[in-house]
Amino acid sequence: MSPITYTITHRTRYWYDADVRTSFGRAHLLPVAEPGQPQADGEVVVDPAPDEQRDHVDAFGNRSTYFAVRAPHRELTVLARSTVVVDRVPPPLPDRPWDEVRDELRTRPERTWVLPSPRLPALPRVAEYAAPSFPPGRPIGEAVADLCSRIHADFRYASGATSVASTLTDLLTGGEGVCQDFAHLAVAALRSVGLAARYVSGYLETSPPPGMPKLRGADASHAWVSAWTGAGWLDADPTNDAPVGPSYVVLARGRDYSDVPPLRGVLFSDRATVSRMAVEVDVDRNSG
Amino acid sequence: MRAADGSVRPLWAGVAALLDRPGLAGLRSRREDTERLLADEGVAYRPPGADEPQAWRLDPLPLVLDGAEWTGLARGVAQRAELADRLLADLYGPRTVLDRGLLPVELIDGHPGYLHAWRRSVGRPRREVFLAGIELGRGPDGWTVLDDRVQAPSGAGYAMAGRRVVSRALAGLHRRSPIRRLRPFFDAMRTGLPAAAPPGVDEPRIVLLHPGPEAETAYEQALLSSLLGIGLVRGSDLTVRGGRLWQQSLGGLDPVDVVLRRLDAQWCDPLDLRPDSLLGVPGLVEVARVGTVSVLNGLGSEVLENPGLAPYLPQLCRALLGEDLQIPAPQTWWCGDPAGRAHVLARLGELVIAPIARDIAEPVHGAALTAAEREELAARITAEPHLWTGRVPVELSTAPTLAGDATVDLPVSVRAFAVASDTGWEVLDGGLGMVTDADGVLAKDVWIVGEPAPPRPDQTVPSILPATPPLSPRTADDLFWFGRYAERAEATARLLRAVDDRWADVIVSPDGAVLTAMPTLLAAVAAVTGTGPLGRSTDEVAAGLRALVCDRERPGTLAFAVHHTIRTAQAVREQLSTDTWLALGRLESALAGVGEHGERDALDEVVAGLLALWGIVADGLVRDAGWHLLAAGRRIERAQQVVALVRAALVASPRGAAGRLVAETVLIATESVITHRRRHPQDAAAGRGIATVLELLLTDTENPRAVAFQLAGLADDLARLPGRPPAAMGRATQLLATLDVHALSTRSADGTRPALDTALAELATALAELADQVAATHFAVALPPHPFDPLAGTG
Repeated sequence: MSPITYTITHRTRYWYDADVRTSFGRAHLLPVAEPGQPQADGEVVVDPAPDEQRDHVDAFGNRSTYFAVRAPHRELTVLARSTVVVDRVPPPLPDRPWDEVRDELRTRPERTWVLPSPRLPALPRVAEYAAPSFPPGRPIGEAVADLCSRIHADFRYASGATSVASTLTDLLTGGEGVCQDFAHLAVAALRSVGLAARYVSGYLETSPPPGMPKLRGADASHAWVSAWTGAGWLDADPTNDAPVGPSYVVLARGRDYSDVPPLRGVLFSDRATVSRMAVEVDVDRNSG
Repeated sequence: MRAADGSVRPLWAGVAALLDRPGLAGLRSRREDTERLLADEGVAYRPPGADEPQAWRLDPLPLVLDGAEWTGLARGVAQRAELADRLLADLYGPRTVLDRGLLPVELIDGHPGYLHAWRRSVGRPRREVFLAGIELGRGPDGWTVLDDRVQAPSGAGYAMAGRRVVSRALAGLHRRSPIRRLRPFFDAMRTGLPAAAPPGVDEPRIVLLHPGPEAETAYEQALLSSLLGIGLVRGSDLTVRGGRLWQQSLGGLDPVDVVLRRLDAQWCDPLDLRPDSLLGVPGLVEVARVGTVSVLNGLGSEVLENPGLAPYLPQLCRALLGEDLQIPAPQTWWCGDPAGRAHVLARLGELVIAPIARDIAEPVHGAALTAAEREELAARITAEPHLWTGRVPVELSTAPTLAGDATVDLPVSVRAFAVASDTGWEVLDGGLGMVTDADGVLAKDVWIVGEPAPPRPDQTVPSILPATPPLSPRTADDLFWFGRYAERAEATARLLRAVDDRWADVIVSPDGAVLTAMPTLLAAVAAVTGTGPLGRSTDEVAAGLRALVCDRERPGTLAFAVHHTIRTAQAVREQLSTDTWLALGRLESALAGVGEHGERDALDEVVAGLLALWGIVADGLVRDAGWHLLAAGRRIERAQQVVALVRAALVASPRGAAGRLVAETVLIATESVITHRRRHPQDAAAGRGIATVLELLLTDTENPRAVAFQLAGLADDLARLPGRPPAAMGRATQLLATLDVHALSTRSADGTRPALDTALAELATALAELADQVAATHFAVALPPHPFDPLAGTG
């Protein structure tokens, strides 16, 4: 397969109902190069122009952007533009028994990804949900794929059913959610059986219905799960019950959403609240 | 104190003699002395959730420790502080101890205090531990470490406060005993703070970041700030710009190089840590990561407040320091290890069960639990074993403690402190002793006697700290309001006293004039204090006047003004002399004594206390920007109080003798009656108008109670502050200059003085604007930070 080059624009806009004096922001919007994604470049452009903006590679290997806007403003736009070359091919499903991987993890550095994280405490309900996918001796690739298929089958995708603050209990009780919730459930389920798992934030190229032009701004950020197989990391997408292949672009990896939100911030104002907020994402395949 | 055979150990001979000599009554008086000294110094502690600070509890009897033994122990304390620093540097840097299997990952990454945002990928190791608190206890097998306080340890300042009090309560014994001094520790802190600054900073600027006056240990934070000579700031006083940290001050922005933090890490930065924190500084993690500011102790240090580390520390100490761990901990099992878990679950009833982080649960003694509770705990341990530990309980040695008329021997622990000076670790020669009695924790001063302190390398306490740390707009605001509330308290006390005396006349001899004057006076009280009508019946008025003295909850009362005087003083404690608390304590006890002595005595006592306070303000404080703001607040308040009183009492005062009585009461309440009598001996008798009263209280430039006098002084105070004088200043001065006291004193047909009413209304407006403009110029309103987080933009 020849590599695909994507151009991605990710624009977040906030409108406020009064002047904001200062905004501080933290963004995880710049992709990094990694296996399956040999080139990744990008920039974050903030409007109004920030007094200060700085990138660094954080503890999880992600590119993290700090900015501070000091001009009074009623609108804030954070635009991330990136170019990523992807040659990712879904690997054959690893066939080591999952319980062997689990036992080995007791002494491996990846053990940190087995631990509960800020948004994903250990919950008995999650452990109960996970158990059927992990009978003794089952190959780990098959177990992960089965878990993702079950999540896809058991929960309804409903945009707006949950928010960034939703918990796994909300998802398990309500039965519907978005990719972030499904990825969280998969991560927590893997951890509940003693496996190491990461939350992946990124993008998925979408195709318009046959014969229709692709709509601008209609793409979205996406999230999925990454599981330690004993020899490497296996990414899987419970939202679409699909292997993670060349139409996926990785932005950041963390313990859960709270390590890698695309954007978060703190503003200072007498009384302003966010009156409207919009996210537009375009994932375009470069032709030629 | 006593050996096994009952004889007094030589070390304790002094204390034992003290207990023998003065007898029981003597003990009681020691306790009373201690309590009085603590109250005089205002040594306070606010238990979590309490509305008000409480008196800090200190036992007069010190814990006496042998110097030779302590010297060895102190080496162990220093070693542990060094180990903590090195361990943190590794855990937030290369994490070799985890990769080498010297420490299980769960114990670190599974601890809520481990902050991934604090990880350092490149750059030099930074200092992680500057000040360590290490809780020690002596068991049957010698000293052990009971607890580590390495995040933002409190107690060293309290140890100093305790020493000051005990050295006076037991002055004779204290002077005779060769007790090691505490001061060198604080000097070492002063040398260590600049040494911890980012490289290349010549004259580091240092602040003490704290949560505010509502903090549990706000007293100590203010004490440390003054002992160290560094500014006490809150998050809202600081700001991040241009890749570094700044302190907002009256003159603008001052750079900050070192932050000694007394704010728990999670609250320090709403951008990168808890988004709901209103106490932190957005961007602090970023500038600390970039390295332009040193935050001490490091933001990630809480992970070492972790009892699960105990089994691993001996091997970590050998690996990181190349030496054996000097002070052991009680034998501890970490439940994340299968063998440890099995041991703890099998012996739940014999061990102390503690979580690896304080906020997970309180440690409990398994023996104190019912079978059902034990089962529940076992289930929690089984569900998340890495969060739990079990340790052998320690039977602590005891120390004699005063209890009523006798002494009791109570188990005692000592919080020891080590600080990184520029020449190595300096251990406090003393500590915070703690015993627990029926009322809770009681502190003890710790005396190290016998062998003198080992010689120290020469330390020159640096003079690099600026003589006066910059004044933050928030502190300026508090000082301004301290001046205002104290002046309001004085004006209210004087007014209530003057009216109370008239009221007493009514009760004793209800003659015509005083009866006619009374409604005007009571209406004036209601108007000036803004508290509403006092009622009609004798009982209602008496109760109303008493409530105006004592009701702390109602704005406008004396008690309210006193309470807020004290609160604002607490907020700027580090700016005030310690004598201030003597005067403020007098105000509080005066009001508390109303029930016993009546309000008239209380009012005298409050006025006397405020006069003492003004004496301290006049003689005990340097004339810096803060002082001028305090003075400005006081002047504006006094001008407003006088204008309000004159307007409420004299615009519609009755004619004749009753009117003269009202005018005289106003003069008494404004402390001007003697001056008026001396200047105008014939006025009262001749029944002249109120022109001379208006002149004395409004336009006189020599009477310190007059509005004109205060405005002139205010102009001087404001001229000493940065920024332009407020526009309302000119307007108020002009209004005053054009007042014609004779015209204003004439009555219209209905008997009132409408011209006076109008003129004073205008003046009151100008004064209110003036107060607002001073505030707008000097006290930037700290806006609360709001987190924002996008809605799920995910597919």
